Amino acid sequence: MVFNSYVFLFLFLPIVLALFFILGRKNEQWAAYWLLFASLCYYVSWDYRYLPILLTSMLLNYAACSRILAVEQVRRRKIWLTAALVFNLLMLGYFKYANFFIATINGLAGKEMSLLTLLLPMGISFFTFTQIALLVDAYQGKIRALHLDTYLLLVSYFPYIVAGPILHHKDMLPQFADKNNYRPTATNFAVGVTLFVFGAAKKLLIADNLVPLVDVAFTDSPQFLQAWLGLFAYTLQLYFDFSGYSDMAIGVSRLFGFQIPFNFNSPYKASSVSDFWLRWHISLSRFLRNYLYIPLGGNRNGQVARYRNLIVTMLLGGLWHGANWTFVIWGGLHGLYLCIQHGWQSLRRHKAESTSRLAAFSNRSLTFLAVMIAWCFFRAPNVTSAFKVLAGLGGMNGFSLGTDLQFLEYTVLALGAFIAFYLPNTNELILYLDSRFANTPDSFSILQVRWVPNIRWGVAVGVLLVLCLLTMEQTKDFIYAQF
Amino acid sequence: MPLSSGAINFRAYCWTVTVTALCLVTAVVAMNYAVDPYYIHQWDTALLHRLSPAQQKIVPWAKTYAAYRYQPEIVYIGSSRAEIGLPTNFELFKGKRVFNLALSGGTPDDAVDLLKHTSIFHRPEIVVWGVEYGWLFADVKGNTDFNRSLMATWPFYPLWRTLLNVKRSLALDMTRDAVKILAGLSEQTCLPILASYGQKSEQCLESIMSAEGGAAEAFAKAMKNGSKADPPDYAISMEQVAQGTLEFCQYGTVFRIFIQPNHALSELQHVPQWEDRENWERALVALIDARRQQGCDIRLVDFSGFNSITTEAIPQKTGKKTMQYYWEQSHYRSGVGEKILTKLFSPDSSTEPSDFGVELNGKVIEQHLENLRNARDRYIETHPQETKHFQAKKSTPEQLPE
Repeated sequence: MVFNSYVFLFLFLPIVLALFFILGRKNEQWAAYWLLFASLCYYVSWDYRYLPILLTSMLLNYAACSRILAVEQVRRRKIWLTAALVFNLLMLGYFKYANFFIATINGLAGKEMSLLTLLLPMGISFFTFTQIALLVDAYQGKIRALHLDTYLLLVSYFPYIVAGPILHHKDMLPQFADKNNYRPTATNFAVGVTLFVFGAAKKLLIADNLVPLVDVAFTDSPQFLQAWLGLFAYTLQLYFDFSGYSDMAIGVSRLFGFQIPFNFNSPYKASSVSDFWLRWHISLSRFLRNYLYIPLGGNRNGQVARYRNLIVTMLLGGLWHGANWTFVIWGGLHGLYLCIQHGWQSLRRHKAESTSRLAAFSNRSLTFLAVMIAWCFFRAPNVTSAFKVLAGLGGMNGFSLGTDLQFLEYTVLALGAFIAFYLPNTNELILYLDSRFANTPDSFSILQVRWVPNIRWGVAVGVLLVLCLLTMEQTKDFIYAQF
Repeated sequence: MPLSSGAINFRAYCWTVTVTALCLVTAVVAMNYAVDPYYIHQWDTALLHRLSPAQQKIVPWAKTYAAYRYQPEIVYIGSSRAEIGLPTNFELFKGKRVFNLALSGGTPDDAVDLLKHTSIFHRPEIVVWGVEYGWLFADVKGNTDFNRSLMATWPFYPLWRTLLNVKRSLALDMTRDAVKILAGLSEQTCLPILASYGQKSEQCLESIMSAEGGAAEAFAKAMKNGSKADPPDYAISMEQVAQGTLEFCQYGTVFRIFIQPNHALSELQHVPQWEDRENWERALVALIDARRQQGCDIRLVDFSGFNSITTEAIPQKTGKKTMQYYWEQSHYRSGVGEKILTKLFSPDSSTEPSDFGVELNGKVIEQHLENLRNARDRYIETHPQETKHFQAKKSTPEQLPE
């Protein structure tokens, strides 16, 4: 049951929302229980066999977390933390990576071990990371108490569970505890609906229409123009697909009164690769930084250790996306980019930073190009295919455009590029008044548009909503739902 | 959250979004539902006389609705060959409600599900089922728009179907085509498929073939492609035939199953998998024999192979633009469909070419397969120019006679 389906929009969401606020008026606890029940139903709607896996993960992690909070001896707390982390990693490893390891061993050792028939639970990467953050913070004393009901709600909360953003307990638990959030407000509805519609438009009107261009580049050996156009289209498709999903998730959650932090901030306007990671899949970047890079030592033990930590973090970040060497290479490339960037910056640390427009443009262009090339591995089904696309980018398969693509695809490509490079992002449009987002990086927008709850915006959002509804019949799956 | 100047309040904003969306959705759905460019809720209505584009979209929507309303006594099922070739105005069926439920790109799974769908309203007395070797597409669920939610499985189907129709009316493609019709910009080529009770009309086919370069072009492509590389996995399609016949035989439904008369050149695509093709036919015969022993009124006739219909000379040889029996190498004309129906329902008729259609059972199958092999070899021998690409698994395209 994806967000952009009739069942979700016209059945599930209205019923869950209505009962949530009806119950919330009587008793907030009941409303929370209802939301938990609805979240589990939503999860089951994908496949009922996922539920025991989610419940096992949640209950065991809660038990471990409770023990960590209850015991005082550091050594025993560490044992509980280690046991819980091992359990989570084993679970993730078994369901997501077992066949990857078997295939790799088969390939390396020339063996023929048969692959396992495994069910990959939807969103396992997201709910596992949310729980790991909780365990680590409990161990570090950042959490004092934890209730089973709010814990279960946090982990299974339906707006995020399929494709994130990865929830952090620090953001969500205080909101679940705040009784005011169980009352409907026009502000939440206005912001929630608008965010949802903008997200749906990104997905349905832009990302889905770029698929034909992308498919041309990633099937067989593309020619020069096909490869560049296809990779550029994929770069935009991925952004509009994933940020669209995030906006929809944030919007849906906002309808209930709970604010999920935003997940994208115009990543293709980044002026460096490290800046890109402050803008792309922010919830994952934050997790990797706080729970992997910094525990590994971060930049505290010299340059060499820093580079090693960057590479390890990005390799594992790549592997998190999927059990395929293409993701490992993609992560490795970003690790390498970050090392080159930091190496370059340390070489030039005594020189003044150029503030010219040309320098800014060059930085952004170079960053975009590097990110785009890396997406080649992210999208390709295997490493060989990725190299075929790279060969196409180098003109090694010929130079013809050679497709009969329609005007629509090129128009959407141009429109998508304009929006990604020059227009304000959803956060800037809608969440600009929220103090939590005041210190975000500059977005280089050429239009300083701001959403205002007035009639003009109301009509525009209404029209956009109808356009989205009209295209829902032929919608495609969200890319990040597979991770 | 403070408001900027010129802002209204959040509540009024929410109402504005809601009212705008509701008004637009209502207008779009009303227009699409009234114009109904894809005939998703038409039967016995004046709209069936409106000329339409040759390639009708989402045909399963139209056919499932028509089946629910028409409640046919005789149905044809199968793929595009049956949809195009089997006429619903067959003389022997006069006075009966006949409907062609075959689907372009449809699989055995589609055929059985459509049969189940129509049986909810009225169990068909006779089912004519066109099958062929390799009748299984990559996706078991078929290459069609046959959404299983269109199937009638419960008593509230009319209400459910209305909801589905309204939902489908809220779509960009339908809006675009409805606007085209209203503006007079829509292609007006032929009557919709429902006007001929589910059979694709000759006018539509003429138009499609003309747009695609005619029969000669189609045969040239088929000859260039040569033989198919891998044998199809027919196990699933056989399973569907087995289940479908088992279920409906119990209720006394009469089955007439036939192997499609693809053109000989199309048949030669399976040269590298000939043994597999023969095993498929043996398995089919065994299945039909078993059903017959269970008391089912079921017969199987093979119209495929190298008979006087399927070996019709191709346009490259005759110099004519069209053929008497075929649209192209795999789709036969209504005239052939009539011969098939005559053979199936009036086996003693002397109007058929005597070599067109061999009734199969366990006793004759081996002899039949041997005859087929011999006929195949003779055809290849006597048609060297047309068949030179069909010997190897995959041939390199060469210059072909135009």
